[in-house]
Amino acid sequence: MSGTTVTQGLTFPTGTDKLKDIPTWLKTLATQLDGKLQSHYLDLARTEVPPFALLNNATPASYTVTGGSSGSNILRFESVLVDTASMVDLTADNRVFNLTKPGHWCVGCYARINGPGGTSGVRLMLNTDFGNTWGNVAHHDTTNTFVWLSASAIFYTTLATDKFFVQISQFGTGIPGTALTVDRALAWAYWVRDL
Amino acid sequence: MQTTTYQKLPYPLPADPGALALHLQQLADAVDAKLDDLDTQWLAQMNKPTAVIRRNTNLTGISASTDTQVLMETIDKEVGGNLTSGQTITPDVGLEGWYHLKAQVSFNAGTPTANTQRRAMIKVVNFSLLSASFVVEEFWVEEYENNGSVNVTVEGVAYLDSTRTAQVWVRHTNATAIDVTAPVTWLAATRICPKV
Repeated sequence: MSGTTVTQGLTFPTGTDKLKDIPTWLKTLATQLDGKLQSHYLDLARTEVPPFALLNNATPASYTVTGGSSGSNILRFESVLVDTASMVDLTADNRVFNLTKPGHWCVGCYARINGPGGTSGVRLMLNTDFGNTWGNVAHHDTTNTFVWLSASAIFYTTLATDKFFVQISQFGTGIPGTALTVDRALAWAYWVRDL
Repeated sequence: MQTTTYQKLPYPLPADPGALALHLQQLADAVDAKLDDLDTQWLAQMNKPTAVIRRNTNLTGISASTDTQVLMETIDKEVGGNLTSGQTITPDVGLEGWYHLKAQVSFNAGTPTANTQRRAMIKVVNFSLLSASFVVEEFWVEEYENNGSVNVTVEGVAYLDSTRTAQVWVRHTNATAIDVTAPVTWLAATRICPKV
């Protein structure tokens, strides 16, 4: 009767084993080792190319940021530059990253925003659908037409169903209107490590 | 002799109970080689290509309204391979991929002009295109300054390889020339993943 190792359960012969059973024992051991090694190679491949998506929008798009409907200030994207884990479906929803794996994620966005003017400012917010803002940068601008903002954050999720998206807003006085135009937006989300 | 499904580890046929020592040695050698390969790959994986380069002297007398490159001067840290000579981020062949880039530029104006721009830029330049450098990606962030000194940070994600380099540039509208100051002017890059 073969024995097994304590932690990995690998098979080995004992004193009562018969010589004719050795090939079967070796096959069992080789198969067990094969499974262990294969698992490590799969883990290696998974971490070499982590879940990662990068979305781009280069066509100016208008957003209602004052008095609009819910979600009217969420950035929309027109192209997927990278998606290693089926995180994005632009046809279904061109605003969200589906964070497909529990763990720590880095999320971020770069945007060029047109139109604040006056004494208003604009704000870029990195949000998830469970209600927290993980990154928040703001710029108060008194003289310029354009504002460029970039931000990133690292947060964790215990789920594989959370969504990440980016919102813009404006603040201050002298706001010229209810809409802002985003000339360029690039947003990303990539998995950093397990919980 | 037969082999396992995935990693092709050898084991004897059922009717081959002889040469036990040889069979065991062959299996042990095969496992040894696989473990060694895994060790090498894990080490490389844990050592993600990452670099931080820094300006260690002030860059003085930057004129207004013109893009000016800030060449870094020292390597704070470089792991996972050769990513930089210390001036820009340019990964060696084999280290290409998508990189998270972040830069900080520290501005100082001796005679500040109210409400003038201080812009920090990361430019990704493909110097293999045609005969001239070609900017394939840019990230800008701009601050307005009344007191003379301000730190501006900018970040983005871009594809880099041995012909696509990440550089830091600045631009301002102050009435007089200003300086970019050491040592808090830097550029950092870490690879998210190889080319996919």
